[in-house]
Amino acid sequence: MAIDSILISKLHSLLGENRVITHLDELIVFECDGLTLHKQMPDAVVLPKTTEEVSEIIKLCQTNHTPFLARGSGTGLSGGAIAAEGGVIIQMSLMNQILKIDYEDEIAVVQPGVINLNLTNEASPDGYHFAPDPSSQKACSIGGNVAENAGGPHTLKYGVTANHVLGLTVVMPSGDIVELGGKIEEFTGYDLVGVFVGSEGTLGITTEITVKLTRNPEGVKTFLATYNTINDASNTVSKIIESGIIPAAMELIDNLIIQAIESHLKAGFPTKADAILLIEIDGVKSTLTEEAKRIESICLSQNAVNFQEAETMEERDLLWRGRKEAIGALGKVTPAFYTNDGVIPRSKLPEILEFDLEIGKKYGLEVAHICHAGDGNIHPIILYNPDNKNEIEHAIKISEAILKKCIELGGALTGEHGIGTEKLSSLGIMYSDNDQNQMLKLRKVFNPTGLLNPGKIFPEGAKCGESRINQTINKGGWI
Amino acid sequence: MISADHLERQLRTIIDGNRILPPQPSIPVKITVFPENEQQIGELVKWATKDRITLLPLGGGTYIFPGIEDLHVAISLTKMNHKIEHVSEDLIATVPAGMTFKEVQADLSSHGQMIPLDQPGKHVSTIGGIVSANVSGPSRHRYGTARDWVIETRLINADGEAVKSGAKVVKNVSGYDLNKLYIGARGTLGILTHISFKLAPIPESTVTFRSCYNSLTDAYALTHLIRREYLDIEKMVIIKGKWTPGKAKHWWVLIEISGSENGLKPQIEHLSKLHDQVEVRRWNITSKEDSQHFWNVACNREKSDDSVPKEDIWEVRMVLPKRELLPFLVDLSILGEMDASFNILPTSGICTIGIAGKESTVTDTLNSIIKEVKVKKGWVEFVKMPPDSNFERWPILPPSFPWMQKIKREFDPNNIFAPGTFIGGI
Repeated sequence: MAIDSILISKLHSLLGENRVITHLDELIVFECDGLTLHKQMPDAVVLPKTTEEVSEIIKLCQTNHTPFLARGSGTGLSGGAIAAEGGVIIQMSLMNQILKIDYEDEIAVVQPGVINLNLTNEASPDGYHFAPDPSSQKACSIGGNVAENAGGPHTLKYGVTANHVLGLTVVMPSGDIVELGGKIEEFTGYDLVGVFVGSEGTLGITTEITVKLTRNPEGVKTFLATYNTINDASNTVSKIIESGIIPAAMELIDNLIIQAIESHLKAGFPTKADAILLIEIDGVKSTLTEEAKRIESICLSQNAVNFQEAETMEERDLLWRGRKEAIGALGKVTPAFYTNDGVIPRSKLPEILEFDLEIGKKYGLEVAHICHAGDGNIHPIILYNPDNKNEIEHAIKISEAILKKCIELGGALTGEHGIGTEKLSSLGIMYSDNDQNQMLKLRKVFNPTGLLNPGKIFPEGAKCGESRINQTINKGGWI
Repeated sequence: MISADHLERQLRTIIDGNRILPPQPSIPVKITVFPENEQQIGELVKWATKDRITLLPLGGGTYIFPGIEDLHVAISLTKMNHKIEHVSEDLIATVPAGMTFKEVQADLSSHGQMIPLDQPGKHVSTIGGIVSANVSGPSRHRYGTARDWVIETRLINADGEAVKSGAKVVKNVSGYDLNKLYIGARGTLGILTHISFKLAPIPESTVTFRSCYNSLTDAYALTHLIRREYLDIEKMVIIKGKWTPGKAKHWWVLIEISGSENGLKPQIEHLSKLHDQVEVRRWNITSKEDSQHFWNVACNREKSDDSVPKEDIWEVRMVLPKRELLPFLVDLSILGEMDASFNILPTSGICTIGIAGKESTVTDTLNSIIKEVKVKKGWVEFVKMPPDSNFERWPILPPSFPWMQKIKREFDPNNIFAPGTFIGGI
């Protein structure tokens, strides 16, 4: 849609020309997020510095019937941060201050543009960290983490973002500024913080976040278990969980990804292994040795051919660097790849991994795996050639088949990336119309005009008396 | 005015007569029904909508208070099918909302697993009731609350339809997380029928330390010290008065640590040394039998042998920033009074105060608590109060309250689910 010139002029008056982007060559940066298959240019991007400015921007957009949405670092992988129906992107990167750290109350108050890892770096000299640790934590913003309810490898023990947010300052789609929750452990009334976290920026725009800080553990042990078959590695996961051990993290990486990591930075992963498990336990030092022995015994009983502990902090850091940079490393072995995100009950891990490989073979594409295995959160990565339309279509078909299989196995469409634009058409395989209508009641309360971040999560808007929100992305745009 | 007889005649068209009973004395309804499946609940809701009948979802009745305006029909899920769907290798269980917490835990414990929440009060508390009231206790130090463990719910909504939120997996961001909305909503948004939980392994062994102090400040000194140490603490509480397992005039600290037999030994030594560093009257490691009794008393499951106030009329629960709680309590004039009881979760900033007395004698104290908590941006709930009290049960409304009203109107447009029983008359 063409944006109203009066709106642009009013945005200029509010923010100054430097904080309003309308040139095509500058807007192109915002046409997609980490999901490069879906692209849509915004009409304008604005950079507020205060909550009040966000409120004024929203009021202007509402008056002009222009769609708007907030965007953090744009590292999301489901198209959640694109202007699916055009309009104004409210880019939060200038609101990037850590406003307060309080170790007595074990909280931090941050603006949404603060980079996830920066908060942990700030708190770590005092023995604390921010527990959600998505692989993009060097780049992703905490506002984005809140919108997507981000996870990461260590959510197995420490939980996802929702478990670490106490309070939010939110600018509602009406422009009203409202405090949800607070700086205390529990609030009365309906848990609005709980439903805002993970609502993919469709209920309001967060401008201040109170998060819990987590104390660093006394001891940490990191292990690398090597397997000749991916099936043995995935069987191990359930056995460990069933034994009553909840590791801090338990990641499964297959051979294709191992090859990519090793060609990228030589993290020490065995290149001949069919799969490895990267397992970490942490906690009170006196408990770790015994737990380590139990884990080793389970891994060996499930045919691990090697089990080794990272002996130094440098070794541990390198293993984790390998894990967290794995997706980037894939660029060395394929011109393009499509990262998926599904969840299955942990005991179904062997079944889904086998299915993924089979479906890949059927369509003639390779599927690599890197999984938060302990959570049952899989990330099948489909390798394809972006210049080959046939392969693009096949990549999408493989993705859809995998998601469908996840649901058949009792799982979910997404564990941490969100529905965004990517999985709109799949929502119906997980939730009935009644289920979706119940959710849409919430959107109707907060976002009755549907102008905040339209074209996300729900496939069509014609429910609960809402106006139909057109999905403007089409397959022709998926490149 | 709709009579119980009229309601019964109507209900008999939906549900078998032997599933319709007069209400328990403490439940403010005219009649109670015990549906056997979701379909019947759906029909009841559709009937209630059509005839403007109000419904009270009912578990064990632990958190239903006298004093609310009478509603028409209590819907008890306690006689629905009690089959737990437990996948032990996934550490996940789906539980009918009407099952008692005790029954569920007994079942799960045979697999070495548990729902890591505290059972409040009597053994009749149901899973649905605990989640609806978002009850927590000393275990929240380690495990948090229901919002950290509930992964899927089924609820009969205002249209009489069964709707699902979430999935039976431990990580899921598909669509809005309505589970968070239902937890703590006290049945005002619909009737929960099934709840799926992540489970926790039951620790191999646990040990409870009990210590006794002259002052709250001394008791707090221990908990402060512990927060800076590395210990696997399962539960922690500071108690006085009716919640103490012994002399009610002293302040007591109960701490449970957990681990394997071998892993516990160094922790026991460590915690013992910490007790020696503070101004403690005495401390000891309790026997297994005593531990069970002490935690039951602290969690209201049993009355203390040495309970000072025989009948507390008031129980006020408050949540404050953690750093504010001790100075707030120390400043309270009732702190030194013998008839006040305290139950404090120091690492969560939560305290429940029990007071005995007529409203005229306690009004000033209660008003000063409300005023101070409001200044510190905390909140207060009257967990127990006389039915004819002039106090609001939730005297501090959050700034987001108008949005909560909008949610209630959208999710329950005919106001049939427990109207007037929640914050601000929701």
